[in-house]
Formats: sequence, structure tokens, C-alpha cells
Amino acid sequence: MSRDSNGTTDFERQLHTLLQESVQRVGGHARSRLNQARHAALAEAARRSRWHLPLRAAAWLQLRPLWMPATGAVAAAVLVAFVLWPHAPQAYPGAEANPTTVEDLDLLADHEGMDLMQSGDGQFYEWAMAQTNQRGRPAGTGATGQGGAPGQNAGTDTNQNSG
Amino acid sequence: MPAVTHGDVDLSDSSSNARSGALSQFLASVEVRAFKIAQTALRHEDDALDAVQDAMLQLARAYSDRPPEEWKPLFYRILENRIRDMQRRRTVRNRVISWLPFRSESDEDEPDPIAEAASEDPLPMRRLEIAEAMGALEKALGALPRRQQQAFLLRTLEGLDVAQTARAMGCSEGSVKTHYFRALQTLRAQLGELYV
Repeated sequence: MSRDSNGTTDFERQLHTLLQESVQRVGGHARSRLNQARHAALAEAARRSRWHLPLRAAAWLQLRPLWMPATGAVAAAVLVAFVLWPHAPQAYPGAEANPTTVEDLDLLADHEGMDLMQSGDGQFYEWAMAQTNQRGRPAGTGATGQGGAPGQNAGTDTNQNSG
Repeated sequence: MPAVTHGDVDLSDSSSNARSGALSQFLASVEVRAFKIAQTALRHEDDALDAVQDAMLQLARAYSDRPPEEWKPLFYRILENRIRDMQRRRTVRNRVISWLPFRSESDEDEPDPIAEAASEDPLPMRRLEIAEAMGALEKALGALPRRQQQAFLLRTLEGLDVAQTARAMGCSEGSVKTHYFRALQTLRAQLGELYV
């Protein structure tokens, strides 16, 4: 067993020669796939280098410890507030309109009132006027109104005056 | 894309291109030997190709910005981890398959008729001898314990020195020497003196 200056024996040299020969005999299919793998790795390295420019990487790495917990805490707080917030029943759109407008609509929609106004004889207004005047007179005038309950009104007035 | 510039020269692009070129050169220089190492360990061509491809991608993804002199030990460290993962997965798969009641022989075990067909070009005697010796060596290498096999192939095939081999294997230089010496002893006992 002879050794060369590097301490390598003949046996080791023979093994080395055999292994190199086996490398030379690697087939075209395997070499083609290795070539594809190399190009994929280089594309990966190029893509990575685009996103890891020194300045951008430094800024990212310096800020990351700060904004990551803060962002997470804010997101968690928003989520908890949304889940736990007591939801009031929502009103329908337009329900908060001015009530005066609604009353006007009721008057316009009331057909009975319109008929009364359009009848033209004014009997209702005459009666209402007489009722008002009767309440304003002194007791014992014996005025009677149209319709309604004049006796009851007179008695009430008498009692009120005598008291 | 903003770039760090110095005058009219785009330093980031030029350094990136130089690094990409260096990485390409490195991968091209190791890929076939890495494939042989993986094939010896896994004894399966496609698995070996997958392992080398994964190691290349991982090196490019995680360590391409390291100094180029560190690439080789890192690459073989990654490759070794990948080989070990594949071996573990294969062990689990084989255990599961052994429990199946109706298992059939894999198609991969069937010989490829094209590969088995006799060539019209007769092998010269010299090439036949080398092929036989190579077959015996690959068989003996496959029977070695994994660490011995790794130490031997990294030292003999890849040409790493003891320190680089230790870094690639993740062990001490003393362990590398021990594994390598035992591998040599076993191979000598099995192969005898080769006539190459």
C-alpha cells in the first residue's frame, strides 16, 4: 500500500477514479433535470434578491418588531369590539323623517275631512261656533245649540255659576 | 424598483448579477456529483433528483447572500438533511405498505425493456471492467452506514477537506476522520484491490 505526498493510498486513488467515471456516465435525462433545477434555483435567488435590497430589508427588519405586535393588538381589539358591541335594532331608512310631514300626509289621506270641507253648507262650522258662544254666555239665557246635548251643557253651566 | 446607485453605476444590479453568476457556476459544478451522492444514499434516480433540486432551491432561497466559499458545505448539509427526510418517509411508507393485505409489486421494480435491450454497440473490454468495478463499488457503498458513506463520498468524490466535511456533516473533524477510516476499511475488505 503506497502513499503519495498527500497520504492518499492507491486504493483511494482507484476509488476516486471509479467514482469520477460514474459521474461521467450520468445520463442525459438526469443532466437535463439537474439543469432545470439549477435554473429554478437561480430564478428563486433572483426573485429573492429583488425583495431583499439592503435598504428595504433594513427598514423591514427594523420596523417589523414594532408594527407586528401593534397591528395584531389593534386587529384583536377591533374584532372583540365588533363581537361584543350591543347592537341596537336598526331603524328603517326614512323613519327618522320630520313628524310634521307625516301629519300632513295623514290630513291629506283623510277622505272624511276633505268631504266635510267640500260639502259647502258649513253646518259643522255653524254648530261649532254656537257651542263656543254658548259657553261664553252668562247662566240662564237658555240658549240651546244645534244637536248635541244642550241641557247637559246648561246644567253644567248653572252648577258652575251657582257655585 | 428602487436601487442603490453610485453615480451612473447601478451597484445593486451589478452585484446581484455577479452573485447570480457565481451561484450558477457553483451549482453547475456540484450538481452531478451531488446527484451521485444522493443516488447512492437513496438508490432511486427520481428521488435523488428531487433531493438535489430541493437542496438547490433551499440554498438559493436562504443562503445565496452568504459568501461563496460557504456554499459547498451548506449545500451538502441541506442535501444530507433532505436525503434523511426522504429515507424516513420511505421507511414509514414501507411499514404501511407491509401491513396492507393485498399489495402488489411496484411498477418501478419492473425492468425497463428499452434499458434492458441489448446494444448493437459491443462494450469494449475496458469499459466492461470499469462497469463491473463500478457496480461492485456502488453496492459496497450502499451497504455502508450512512455517516460513513457520507464522509467517504464528500471526501473522495466531492473533494472536501476534513474541515469542510465536518461542517457539511455537522460533526467534529475527529468524527469525520473516524467515519472515513472505517468506510475505507470496509470497502477494502469487500472490494479488495481494484484494477482500474
